[in-house]
Amino acid sequence: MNWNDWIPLLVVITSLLPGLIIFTLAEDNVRARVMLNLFGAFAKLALVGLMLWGVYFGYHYETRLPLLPNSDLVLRAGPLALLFVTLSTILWLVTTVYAIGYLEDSPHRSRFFGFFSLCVTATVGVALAGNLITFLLFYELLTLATYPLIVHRGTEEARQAGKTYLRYTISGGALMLIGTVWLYSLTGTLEFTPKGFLSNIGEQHYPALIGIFALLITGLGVKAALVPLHGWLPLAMIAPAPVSALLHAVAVVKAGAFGIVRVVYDVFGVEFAAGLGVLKPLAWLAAFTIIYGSIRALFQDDLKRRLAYSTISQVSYIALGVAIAGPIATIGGVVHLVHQGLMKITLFFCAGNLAETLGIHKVSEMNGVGRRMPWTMAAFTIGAFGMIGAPPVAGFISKWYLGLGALNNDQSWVIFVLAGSSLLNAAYFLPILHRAWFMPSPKSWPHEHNFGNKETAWALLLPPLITAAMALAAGLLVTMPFSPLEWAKLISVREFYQP
Amino acid sequence: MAIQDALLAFPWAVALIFLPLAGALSCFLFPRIIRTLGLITSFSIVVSVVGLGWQLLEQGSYRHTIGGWSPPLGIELYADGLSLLMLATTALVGFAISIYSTAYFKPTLAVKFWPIWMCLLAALNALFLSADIFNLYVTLELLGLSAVALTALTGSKEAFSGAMRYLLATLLASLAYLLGVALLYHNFGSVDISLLAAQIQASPAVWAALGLMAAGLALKTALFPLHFWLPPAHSSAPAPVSALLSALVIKASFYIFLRLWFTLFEPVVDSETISTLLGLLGCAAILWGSIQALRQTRLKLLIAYSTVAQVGYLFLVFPLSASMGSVAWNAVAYLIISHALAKSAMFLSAGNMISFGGHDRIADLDRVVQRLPLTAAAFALAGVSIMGIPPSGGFIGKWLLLEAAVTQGQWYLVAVMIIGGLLAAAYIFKVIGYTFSPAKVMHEAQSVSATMQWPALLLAIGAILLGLLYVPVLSMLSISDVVIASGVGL
Amino acid sequence: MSSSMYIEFISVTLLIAVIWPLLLSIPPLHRRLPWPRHLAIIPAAVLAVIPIDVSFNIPWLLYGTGFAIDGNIRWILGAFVVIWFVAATISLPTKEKSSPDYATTLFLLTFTGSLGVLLTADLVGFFSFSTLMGYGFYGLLIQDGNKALLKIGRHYLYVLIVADIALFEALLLVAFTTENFQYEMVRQTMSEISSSPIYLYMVLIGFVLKAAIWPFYFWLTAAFNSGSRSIALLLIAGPITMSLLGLLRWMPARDDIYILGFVMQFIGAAAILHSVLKILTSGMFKQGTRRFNTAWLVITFTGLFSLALGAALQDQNLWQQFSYLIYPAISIFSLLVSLLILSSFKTHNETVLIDNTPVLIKNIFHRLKEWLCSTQQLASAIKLTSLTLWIKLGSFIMKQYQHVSSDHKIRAFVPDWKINITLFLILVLAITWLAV
Repeated sequence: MNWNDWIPLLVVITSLLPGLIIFTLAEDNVRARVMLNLFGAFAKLALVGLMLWGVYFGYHYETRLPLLPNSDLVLRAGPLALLFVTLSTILWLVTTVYAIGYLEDSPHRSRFFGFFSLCVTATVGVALAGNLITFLLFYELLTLATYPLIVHRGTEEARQAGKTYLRYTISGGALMLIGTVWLYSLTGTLEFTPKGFLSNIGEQHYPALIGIFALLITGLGVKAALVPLHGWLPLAMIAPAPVSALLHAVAVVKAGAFGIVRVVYDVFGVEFAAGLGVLKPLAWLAAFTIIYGSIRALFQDDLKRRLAYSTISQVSYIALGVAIAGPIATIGGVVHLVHQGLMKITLFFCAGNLAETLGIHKVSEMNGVGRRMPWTMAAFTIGAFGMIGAPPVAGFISKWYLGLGALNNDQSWVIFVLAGSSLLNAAYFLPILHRAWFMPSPKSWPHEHNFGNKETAWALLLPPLITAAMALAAGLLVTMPFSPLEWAKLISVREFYQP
Repeated sequence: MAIQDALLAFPWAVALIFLPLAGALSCFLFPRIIRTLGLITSFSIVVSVVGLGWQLLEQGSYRHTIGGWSPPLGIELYADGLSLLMLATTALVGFAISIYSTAYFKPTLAVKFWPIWMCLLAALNALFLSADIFNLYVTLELLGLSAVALTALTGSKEAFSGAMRYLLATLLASLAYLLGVALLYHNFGSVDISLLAAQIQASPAVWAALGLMAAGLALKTALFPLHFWLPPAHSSAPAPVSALLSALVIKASFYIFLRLWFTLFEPVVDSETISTLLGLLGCAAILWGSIQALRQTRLKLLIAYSTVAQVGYLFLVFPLSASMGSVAWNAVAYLIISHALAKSAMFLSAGNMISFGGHDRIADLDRVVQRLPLTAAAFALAGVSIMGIPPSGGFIGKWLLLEAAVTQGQWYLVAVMIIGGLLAAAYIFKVIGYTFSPAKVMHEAQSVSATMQWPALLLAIGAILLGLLYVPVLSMLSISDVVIASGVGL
Repeated sequence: MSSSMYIEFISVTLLIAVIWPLLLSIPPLHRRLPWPRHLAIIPAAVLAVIPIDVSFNIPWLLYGTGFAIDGNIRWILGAFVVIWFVAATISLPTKEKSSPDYATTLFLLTFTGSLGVLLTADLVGFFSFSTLMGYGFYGLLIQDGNKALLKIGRHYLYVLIVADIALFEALLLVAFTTENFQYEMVRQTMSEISSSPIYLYMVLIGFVLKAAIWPFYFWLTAAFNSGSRSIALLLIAGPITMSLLGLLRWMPARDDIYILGFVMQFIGAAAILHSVLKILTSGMFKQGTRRFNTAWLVITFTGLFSLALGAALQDQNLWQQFSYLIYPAISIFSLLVSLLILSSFKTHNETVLIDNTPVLIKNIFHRLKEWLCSTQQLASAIKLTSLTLWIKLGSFIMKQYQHVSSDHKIRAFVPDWKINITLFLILVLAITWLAV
């Protein structure tokens, strides 16, 4: 094994080790904690950059450790893996800065940051997994690492939310386990191969394969919040804002959606899956989730809940893109992984800012916030417009490709779903913007913290601005070589066109 | 070189039996330095196991005739991969429990604890090294009696009643086992396992012997529906004793049954039906134990019922060994080891929580996560292995069992295992959830020393790391010189 | 040599003309400058005056956006610059320096949007800038808290959203057919018989709504009614004119859909008739009701436009011959109407809201809201089928099967010894028997 073979493992370890060390730190040892966190984040960024560079020049990065007979623990840096890993790493860095600002003077920060780092470890492991068993391992680890973050506050409400979260995710994990074991017993291998590794299976196994697909997608759909497996997500909003931001933009929900992409492309193969007839039901389910999530979001007054239902709706775009089974729709679905992450994390950061600075938790309390916190609301506006699909923010690009892909595959009903979703998104985001910018502010805010003449702390203000700028750039500079769209095109080409 | 050869030639197996006996004697004679003596003995057992392991790796499976008298007259010691694994588990868990006990027991109890504990270790080691069924009976009795004595250690009413129940059950089981031994000896003239294996044929005596021995060992292993003695015994004993009972003592009788079944009985009886029966009882154990665990309001009872459930998993190896013998075999070995590590970690951390709060009511666990972080971590990690969530030894075992079940098309077993996993997650996370939140009535905390917290945590970490060490464990397991037709290595 | 330098100069000025107002819209920036609104318009004025045609591409922006200016556009740009200038003058910013001046921000954002719409050379750029213009204009409508304008703003928003969705679908259809988004190319490609006619319908829906062409003019008349001159001016120089421009540029050059041509001509004729009637019956010479005239004038013009469009949809040759006339027509018309607005709108303190949205449309919105509310209740009912309930059911069943309580009294815990020994013996016998 040469040096290259250890880099994927190192990427995972750069957040595992700091996390374990942070657990042992005393509560008031802020400096050490911040240094460890930032060191881990930057180290990971450097390694991921190295991998990107290397893959561009044709290097292979793969770590292989024995885990089970005939199944190894494989961490491999392919294009799809790198897309997700890059997104996770950058957003982790930004969220760490935000969390440091948000949780200042809160109790149990060492515990929080320890599990935070473990959460990112698991996400990066999910991204880099090279076969289904490694994926499953890190997927379950993600469940375990995020549970303490959800119950962090220690209140009864948090405990109940954690209980519900576990019910859903552990059941989903069990279903995935059955599906994986069954698949393994049929094929003897679980490696992710472009176009899937099931093309040699005899026809008598097709019903079994359909069953396996259903089990895997259900297990993944729990985390990806497909209806009716989405019940845990609005309840998990009880967690502190950095957790919601990370969970809903990057870690948990994306891991589920990413898993669906992996299963359809690298386990079954898109054409094979389409031939089995399993992609149509997935498309319907995704479409239903898109509309259902948006409708539920309309009626929420609590800001984070509204954003939660919006997440449920938006993540299903990815599943829809996958299920339409065409190269262009693939591009749309995969690129939406990145775009939705950027936009949603901006929105959650802004929601956290409002809660932390002014004590605002509900939309009805948001009158005139734009005057008090203009930069935060400007970032929120960009994120919201992206969600609606207004150019040139990135969401427009993903909707474009999804619609185009649907047209290419004669599935024009998807266009209506997308149009309806845009309409509903406008219906629940524009009132927020209207309230914030155009209504007079109340006499006093529910719970104001004063930050002098800045609108809020730097650690709270910079992250949403950075991610909003990234969302804007992802839309404006969409044809540049390293934009998420070009990356997604590369992935699609590999899946569909290369032999 | 000379030292190496000397070390290789040294009879480690004998040392494994001799050392704890000597330790027990010295603990009895020198009560003042009892803790040091206990620790030294435990540590020396670990060293001996390492030595034995090295010996086995170099030379294959090991036979040692005591006093030079070979069977059918003499006693023979036999060590192969499976016994090595059991011995290693015993040594490690025993060492951790010894460290824990140095801090747990007050001097009055310690004087009683250590000699009996050493005796129990000797019995365990001897059991794993025995090669004939009568020797197995002797060691089994010794084991049972020591265990009962340890259960009754505190002298409380609860402890006595639990220990009494345990005593009666274990005696009944041993009696049945002895009857089986007598039947076999009468019919085949030998008690040595390999000799018996060569001569055994289907006959009513063999069937009766199987019935008696199987039921007896099932009673000792607390297989459903004969598990009634386990919860009271394991929950009323002091924490380290509960740990060693659940982790080690139960496994001993299961080990015997495993050996006897695969070497003696399986070729000559209608193994399929009996395997199915055992599998069904195992399924019932999983479901019943998990459901009961979920209902408990006291922590130690919850863990005890969890043991009942995990024993069910062990018995699933029998229906699954038909065609995929090696997979099921590896699975059961993995399950035994990881359960030993995880369950002892759980009991030790429960002991910590009880010392800390004075009670073990689950709903009143008051923010243990903040105040006893090591203990909470130990419990959580051990729970991960019990639930069978990756990465952990429990997951590997569960995966292997699932693979065997799916390949053989036994979907009811798959369903039971998955449901068992979900229920385990339910009761483990119930406890963990309560450790995060404050209790309704806050109480003063007693401090818990590090000597008590670290063994629990290290055992739990061991259970997790086991999930990544498949290859070394497998290589240890494959050391053997008896291979049976069904493809299962012994 | 010098002509290429001029071209570069104009290209740079073009870019500056679009970016400069965008920059100025940031409050910290425009607070420091005097007359920020007028300053922002200057580069565009320069462009309008200098008679050099340029067109260039920026390949890395969006999908390769292009900008272009030529004689036709300069017609409109001229009128545009004048109207915006006047609007900037008559709508002075708020006096207080302390609160951020969002009025100017919105003004400048809308201006950027409209200018961008005018100057881009491809469909995607057009769509992006028109979105900016649309939402900016919405902000302008409601930013001073005027209740009448709030309601108009809401209606405008609905129109905007629906129109944008239609235009997005049209854009998708273009992307489906071709990779080149330049106007002429699109018009050619989408006019082939094989391409989808839905494109035409979508374009029409989108721009008809945005330009308030009869019979979708209600928000327009209400806006003119509100008494705010700057709003009326900006409407002309913004959404209305730009939407007409959009129709010019997006409309495919096909003439095989006869019936559509008829419909458009009918709409145009009806519009003209209706507005003429309104103007006559309102009494042009009464002081207070001049406002009606102005909106109806706009409707007349858009009616004329749709008439022309309808004719073109039936015979493309007409279009080729007379399309060059449209640009100056738009330009002159907008200037005329602006003059009228300025002269007829004296300062009004009260605003009379005459809501002429037909009752039917109000009903539809109300019904939609109710339906959504009931769906919400249905969704809460659907919660019953969620996993949580199944698990509750399961635990409830489990509780029914417990006879053995195991908490406090360990002694009473276990069933009789007799039962246990019996079980043991049964097991012995069972295994023995099954071994056979």
